[in-house]
Amino acid sequence: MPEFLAFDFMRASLLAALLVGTAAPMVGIHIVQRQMSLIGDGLGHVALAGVGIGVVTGNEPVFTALIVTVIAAVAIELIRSVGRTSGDLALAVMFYGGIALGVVLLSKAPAGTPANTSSYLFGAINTVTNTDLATFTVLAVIVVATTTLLRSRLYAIAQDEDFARSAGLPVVFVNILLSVLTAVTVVVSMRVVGLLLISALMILPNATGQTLGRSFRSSLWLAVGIGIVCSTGGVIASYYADTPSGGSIVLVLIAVFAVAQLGAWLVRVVRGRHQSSLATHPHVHWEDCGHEAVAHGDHVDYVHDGQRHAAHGDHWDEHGPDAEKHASKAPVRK
Amino acid sequence: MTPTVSPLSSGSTDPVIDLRSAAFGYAERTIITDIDLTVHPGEVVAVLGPNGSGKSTLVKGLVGLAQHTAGEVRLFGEPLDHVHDRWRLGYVPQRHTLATSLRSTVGEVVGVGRVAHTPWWAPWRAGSAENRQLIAQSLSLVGLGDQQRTDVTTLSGGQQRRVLIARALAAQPEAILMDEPTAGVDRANQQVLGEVLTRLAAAGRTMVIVTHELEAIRPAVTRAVAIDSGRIIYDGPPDAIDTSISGHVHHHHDDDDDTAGVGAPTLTAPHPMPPVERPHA
Ligand SMILES: [Zn+2]
Ligand SMILES: [Zn+2]
Ligand SMILES: [Zn+2]
Ligand SMILES: [Zn+2]
Repeated sequence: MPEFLAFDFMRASLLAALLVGTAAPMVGIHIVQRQMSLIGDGLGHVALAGVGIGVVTGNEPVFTALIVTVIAAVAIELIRSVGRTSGDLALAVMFYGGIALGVVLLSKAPAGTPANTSSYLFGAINTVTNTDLATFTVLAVIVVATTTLLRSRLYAIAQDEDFARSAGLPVVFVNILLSVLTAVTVVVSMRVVGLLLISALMILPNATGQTLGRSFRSSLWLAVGIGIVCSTGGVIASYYADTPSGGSIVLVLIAVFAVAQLGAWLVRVVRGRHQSSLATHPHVHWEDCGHEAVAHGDHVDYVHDGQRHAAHGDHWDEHGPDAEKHASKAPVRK
Repeated sequence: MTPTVSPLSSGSTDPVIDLRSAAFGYAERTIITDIDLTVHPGEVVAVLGPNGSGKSTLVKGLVGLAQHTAGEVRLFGEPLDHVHDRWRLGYVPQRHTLATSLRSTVGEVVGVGRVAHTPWWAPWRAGSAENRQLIAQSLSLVGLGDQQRTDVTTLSGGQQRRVLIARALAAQPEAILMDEPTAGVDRANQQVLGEVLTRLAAAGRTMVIVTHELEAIRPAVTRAVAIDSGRIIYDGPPDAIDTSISGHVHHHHDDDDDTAGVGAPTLTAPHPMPPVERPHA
């Protein structure tokens, strides 16, 4: 057994990291798809006000943060659905007001409370209590279950909101639910990565997943895998290096993202651009276009002026009868 | 029984769409007024009109994206606000790109058409054999059967339009409304889209196609309706339309169709190369 597992606080930390590493990318992919990457950051600001209220009133900060953040999440989605330009300002007031209120309230914390501002802003995983851990587990399970159940609806609405409406999907309700799930994820992640770094855990695994994946589905599962590996890996690294957990996790996420980008770039360079694409091809081949269609491996070639043409992305390639070589060189070919 | 993308018809002979003095618009203003229009099962109706004529608002009103402000609107014999299964009326929105900020395959986009048929509490059914078969069939119908695993962003504009039609087909609608399916794509792709629509029409599909370019889709169409300034000015066979309305068409500069106002000044003269319109924000 590795040395770090001998400590209770490390086992608790790793469980918390596992929960957060799973839930954050699952919510994050839908936020990224809506191009609202920084919403988690804003809700993180608001959560600090909730923490402050809890500390000053002597309530459990996790619960007060949850209530305040969920209310803010619903408000954000309502402001966004109205779509006024003044909505932007309203959000700014909410976010900066939240963090300012949090800082002021925490400075008035009664003596003897362990809370200090920076442990909430940057994460202090070794302050996670067993009560916290039980709460986080329940919340993370709710987040994972809800995003799993609603994934196809969340995807459909972000893909084309008009089409989703026309098919009768409850667009406003699902969007509010996503906002609330984001709020819950922020609170669950608060102790692990800290309120200022939460967005990173929702966004960065998905950025890497997008680099490596070939579909929405595969990039999501890659992102969840990366989220779990990096958050637990970051916690272990922070144990040996004696560094804060939140910053360590985010640095590991960035390192993995950089490696994935470099790898993808190298693959592109090595494969190179294929030579067989046709510069101009005004005709569009399809089943009924009149040209003879020939099955060729996993696709169809059309016999056109003595050449064989195959669709490749938005252009046409010339395929010889022995085009296996080309097929393996063209990464987009299906 | 093998699933099929042929419409899940209730077998009724009620008109698909029945409008009596209907008006549609948005909170601030009514765009299209006093429309009488009845579409029967099996008809393929082209709705023609310049940008700003309100034809797009008519489609949006019918699929629930614009408000029904006056008159009577019935779909499948039921009043508009009593229609629960909205997917019965399929929709191909006017969109110039399928690109989102995330990777998606063609199959995943077409799968969106199945979402309304999949209960939220049974997400595993999204990948059922039935759904996979319907997605594959919808793609073959538009001639993209071999592109299911392709990243949608790598497709040409014309191919992306066909993906939108396949997505509508996958929902097994009883009738399909299309908003400018051929606008903004080049000649060759317009021709393919016209052939796809002709193929669907030959299979007995009920379709209402809003367009300002009749030429590309003329073989598919059984009836033409021309709208100008929010009113119907022609309703009859597609071949008689050119002579019948040539005197009625005006230029419009205020448009509700979300286009850049570069539409055809006349109804029927096609552009040598249609303008590529501003993509939706
Ligand atoms: Zn190529
Ligand atoms: Zn051909
Ligand atoms: Zn060719
Ligand atoms: Zn080939």
